[in-house]
Amino acid sequence: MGFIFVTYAGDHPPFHVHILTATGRNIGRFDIEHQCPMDNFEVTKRLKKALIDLGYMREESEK
Amino acid sequence: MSLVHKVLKKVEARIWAASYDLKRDAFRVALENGQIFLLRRPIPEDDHSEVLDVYIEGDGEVFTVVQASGHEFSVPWDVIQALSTDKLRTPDPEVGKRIGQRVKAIRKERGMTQDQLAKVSGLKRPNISRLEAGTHVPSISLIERLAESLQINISDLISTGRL
Repeated sequence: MGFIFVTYAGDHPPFHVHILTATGRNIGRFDIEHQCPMDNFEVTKRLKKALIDLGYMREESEK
Repeated sequence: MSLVHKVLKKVEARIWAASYDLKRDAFRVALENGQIFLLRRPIPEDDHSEVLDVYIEGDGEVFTVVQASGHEFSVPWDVIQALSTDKLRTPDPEVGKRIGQRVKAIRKERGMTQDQLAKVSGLKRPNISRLEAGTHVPSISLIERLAESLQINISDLISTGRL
């Protein structure tokens, strides 16, 4: 899909996943608790599909 | 400064340099945006053993610490900023309760005992019991293991929405 998703055991709340491109460029963080981006980036269709496939985003989330 | 600009600037805070200061028992970290931090140990995930190596990974997203015990952990840039300002918020106990209730409900739905879930997930049964009681907020890696063991999405355990 072209994304890398990273979670860190010692990370701060809220629970979130760091999203990078396949080349390692930082895209931003997605808040799993509140189901929304924590930084200013667009959740494209491709990114949304990847987030849903990996279980970080619930299918009904439209944020 | 617009809100968008502020947020963009925050995202661009990559790590430029990281090292361990033995005399101060602290990590020195410089971000690309010019901020310099001194993070006194212990920091989250630190097991207090001697620091053997510190290196930056990826695109400056994290710095990784190698310890004499063999333990390795990574610290993301946003945690560095939070630690330095003492703004690393403690987890909301309500989150622990919510996750515990969901784990318990889904485990029962699957007809599993705490022992069985412990075996599948590789966790100890008392830890499952403690987690279900909501007395502590588990780490995200533990939640990922539980979600995999219960064959559900991680968001089903974490998100604030109803299942």
